[in-house]
Amino acid sequence: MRLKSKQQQKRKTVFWGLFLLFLSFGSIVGSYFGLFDKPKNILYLIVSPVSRTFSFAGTKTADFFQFFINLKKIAQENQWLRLENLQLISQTAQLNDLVRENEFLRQALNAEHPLNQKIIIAKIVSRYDLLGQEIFIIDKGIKNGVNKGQAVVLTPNILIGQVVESLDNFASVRPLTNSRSQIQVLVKDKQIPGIIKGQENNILVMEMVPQDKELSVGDLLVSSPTDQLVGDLLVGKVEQVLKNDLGVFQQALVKPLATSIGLDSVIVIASANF
Amino acid sequence: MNIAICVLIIIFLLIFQLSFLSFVLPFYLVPNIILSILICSLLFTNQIKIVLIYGFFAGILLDMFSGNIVGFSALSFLLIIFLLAFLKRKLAIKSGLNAFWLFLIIASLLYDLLIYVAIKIYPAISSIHWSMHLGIAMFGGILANLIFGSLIYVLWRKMAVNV
Repeated sequence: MRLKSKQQQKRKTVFWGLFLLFLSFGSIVGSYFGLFDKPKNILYLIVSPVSRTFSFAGTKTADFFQFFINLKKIAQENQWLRLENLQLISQTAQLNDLVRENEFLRQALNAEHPLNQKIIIAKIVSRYDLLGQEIFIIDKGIKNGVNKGQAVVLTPNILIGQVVESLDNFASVRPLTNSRSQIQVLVKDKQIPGIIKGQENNILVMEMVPQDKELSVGDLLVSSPTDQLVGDLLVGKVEQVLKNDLGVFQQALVKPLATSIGLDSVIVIASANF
Repeated sequence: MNIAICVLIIIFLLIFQLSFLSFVLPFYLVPNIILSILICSLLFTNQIKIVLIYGFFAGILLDMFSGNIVGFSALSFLLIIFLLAFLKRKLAIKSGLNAFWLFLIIASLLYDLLIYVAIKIYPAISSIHWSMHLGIAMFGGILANLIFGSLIYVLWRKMAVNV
């Protein structure tokens, strides 16, 4: 009798195991068809206050330790930034003149403003990281006009990520530094095309750059306009060029101009007519 | 323990792992807390069915939070629980800290192996740097799981949680 009930229990466990395995496979298939969009939206709605607190505490703690680790580096960077700031001030003055001139010509020719884009300001409600793949959740979704593929920027036009999933009230954003991030870029003023991929330690790698193109340290990279992403958004600055005489392409290490770390809110570019 | 409370604890631990520990520690030193919880419940309860259900839901929630393909972690957890339950029965392993460590090492290796296989089949499923630093990730993952897992084990024993 006891043996029979044990066997029955064993059979029940095997049945449950197989049933759950089947459900797991079903979930994998279902997730391709957006079966989990609604449950995810509800889950984010419920847990976002808690996860926001944890994300905030996590990034603050990490910043605290990073400060001590990079103390020496920060001093050097500070000096370098002071110099760069002086250069930028003089460049800004020149650019202001150009903007005024451009605006005057535009009015004279009665031309439309090219930056006809809808921007959505969104708050970062939580951050998640699994196996070094960071994503952050913003509090705007399909209902607010946020859709998959749209650019997420830091004011005024510094690209920090791309919307990878849009739910009713929330959207997941993949930062440029995420190893799964991949966007097409151009070297500003040189029009050299390439692909930017995320790497460790907040560094990006520019790939698929033909060997005959002249890349140099300090070159600015901007996003290349595609079906999903708007163009001319600042991405990063070339820090190191990696040439390989035997290869067809060269690579470059790129420092992003901004990251999502420590940010509370971001801007989503919902549509643009570049 | 009430199922609702268990689900809440799992959600809380997942958020703690994905939103706090992931930002404080390097990615290869972030423990898989759910794995430790599942092993504790497998060792101290004989209700494999319940452990399988918790493993499934924890996996689904983990994937929903992390933006992965939903179902992958659930499948991994189920396979791990199946194997460990089989080992426990065949080798007549008694519950204790040594058994916990042994199971945790096996589970960590198996979980990493499943991710590695998944990356090979479908590269977009997981991190590029994880696959580049497989050794570091595996060693770091096991070490982190052992440290944090032992803490969970002690807490589990103290609280005498009856899942």
